[in-house]
Amino acid sequence: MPANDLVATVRSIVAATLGAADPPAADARAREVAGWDSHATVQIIFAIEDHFGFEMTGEEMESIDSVASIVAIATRRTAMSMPARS
Amino acid sequence: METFLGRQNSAETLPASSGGGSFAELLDHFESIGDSCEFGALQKLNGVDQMALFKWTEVPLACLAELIDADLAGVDAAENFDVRLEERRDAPFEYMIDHRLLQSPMHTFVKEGRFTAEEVKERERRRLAILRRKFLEDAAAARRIYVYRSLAPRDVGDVANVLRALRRLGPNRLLFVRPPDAEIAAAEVRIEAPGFAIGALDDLAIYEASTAIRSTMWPHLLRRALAALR
Repeated sequence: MPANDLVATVRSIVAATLGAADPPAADARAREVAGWDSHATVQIIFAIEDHFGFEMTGEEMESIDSVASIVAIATRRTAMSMPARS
Repeated sequence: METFLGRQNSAETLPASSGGGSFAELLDHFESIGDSCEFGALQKLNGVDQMALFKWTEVPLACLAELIDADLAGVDAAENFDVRLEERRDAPFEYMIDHRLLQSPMHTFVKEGRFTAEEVKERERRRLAILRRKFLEDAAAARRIYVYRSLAPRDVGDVANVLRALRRLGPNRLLFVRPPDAEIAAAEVRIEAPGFAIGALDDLAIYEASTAIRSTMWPHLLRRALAALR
């Protein structure tokens, strides 16, 4: 998935989870977004896991404090699951 | 100066700095495992909002040790909990969980209207599965010092049994916070066994208002406990 698409997907998942009309900015931090508390983070985690098809580690969950931190996890995990080029 | 007790409490203040870092940084070294919402509320009031399975629960000690011994098996099984709407006098009704294994009510923080009870139950099943997974990984890594606070008298052996269960998973540490008495003075921290500290605090929150933090000594106690358990 192109990087811009991945960012847009993560923003959209966060907005849907929070019930927000508009997606948060790509550089938004959790503490700046209304309703994004630890409870919401758990909901975001399972929405991300469902969408991208991987399970986060505890360390990855622990690192989530912004849209960018989720994008970083999704980027790394989706890259790991891509077949190597021959 | 920083008000760490929150707006609903008195205007008592304490220094923000607590042993080389902010109070929030100090708080983040710890994770609540009961016996009320007090420690989770203290953290949240100070900007520390961990994803922690037990922070909003009141799980009985024996049950806590058994659950951890069993790797929290069944905690995320739908047949082990029910969802109900709880009436609130001055706020929208909230969905609550009655969990048979945890033997404790739990907040969902979902208000009536946005989701049906069935949807809330499925969301909570998923949430509990993630929190279970995280708890086990964190305990294996001994990521934080667990805090068990109790205003009610507890047998130290029962608390130590919870630590024994935690140490089966990893090299964990536990701070047991209780009211002062003839054996331990307020704000004192005493090492009881490897990885096990007992601390005493005046004015622990009462069970009827467990999120109303009253003690001004938490920063001092936590700083001492962190130093003792490092």
